[in-house]
Amino acid sequence: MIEFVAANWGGLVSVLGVIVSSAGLGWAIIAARRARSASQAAQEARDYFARQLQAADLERAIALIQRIKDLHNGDRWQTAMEQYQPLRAMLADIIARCPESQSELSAKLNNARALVTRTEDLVGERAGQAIENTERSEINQGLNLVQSALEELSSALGFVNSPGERK
Amino acid sequence: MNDLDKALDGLMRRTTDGKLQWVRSVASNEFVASIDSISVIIRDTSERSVFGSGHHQLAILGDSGDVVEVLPDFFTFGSPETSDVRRATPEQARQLAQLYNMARRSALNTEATLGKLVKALES
Repeated sequence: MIEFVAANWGGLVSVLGVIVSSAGLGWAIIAARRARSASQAAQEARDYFARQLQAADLERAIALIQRIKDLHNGDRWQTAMEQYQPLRAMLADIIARCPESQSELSAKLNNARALVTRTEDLVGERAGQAIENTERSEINQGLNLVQSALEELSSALGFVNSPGERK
Repeated sequence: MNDLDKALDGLMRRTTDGKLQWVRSVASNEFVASIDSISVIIRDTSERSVFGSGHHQLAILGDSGDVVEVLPDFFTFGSPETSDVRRATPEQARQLAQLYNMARRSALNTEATLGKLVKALES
């Protein structure tokens, strides 16, 4: 036996080397898989929280539009004026986080933001003057377009409060 | 050709190709479209013009939704009267009028409605 080992020492060392290398490779693969799983889990967690934040932002923006429409209907134009800029900021934030796959929706949201800017201009131009019912109706229709674009995004992202479920 | 010429040219080309969808704005005489995060609003400003009818204005809105550039075709009431406001050249004024009509037809879906009307009349 000793003679066999002595005679084949080099071959045995090679075989042992192959076994150790294979074990190392196996371990490395397992470690890499674990690392990837951990990385994936972290990414999934980040995505989850981003989605939750986006859902909350959408809800807040939709609620703000409703508040602005109520202010318009109550002829409280000056108070409404103070809400347009925060709404535009919310929309800018939502647009920045809109998934690339939703490019059509992103264009709609950009249009929506432009409508808010125009609403702000129109109301600003009428400062102190009475706004007729037809004009109020046109302005609120513009806000309805903004609201439906947000609801469409909410629905496309699979959030709980899709348009059909909204009260 | 400056950047505004190129922008007007590009807007008209994309609208003609059907790659730019215009929608109605908050007033009946103006229309909005967006490309990436940039929005444009084209308006008929005839009622504000000191030169009568047929005048238009293009506003360009940046990332934050603020108006970053306005191109009125002639002296229009209500447009920013600062020294850096550009005025459209006669050629740009012609393009603005053309773009306004194209935007209006796109937003109001004029061609499809005409097609339906013709079909209805033929049946």
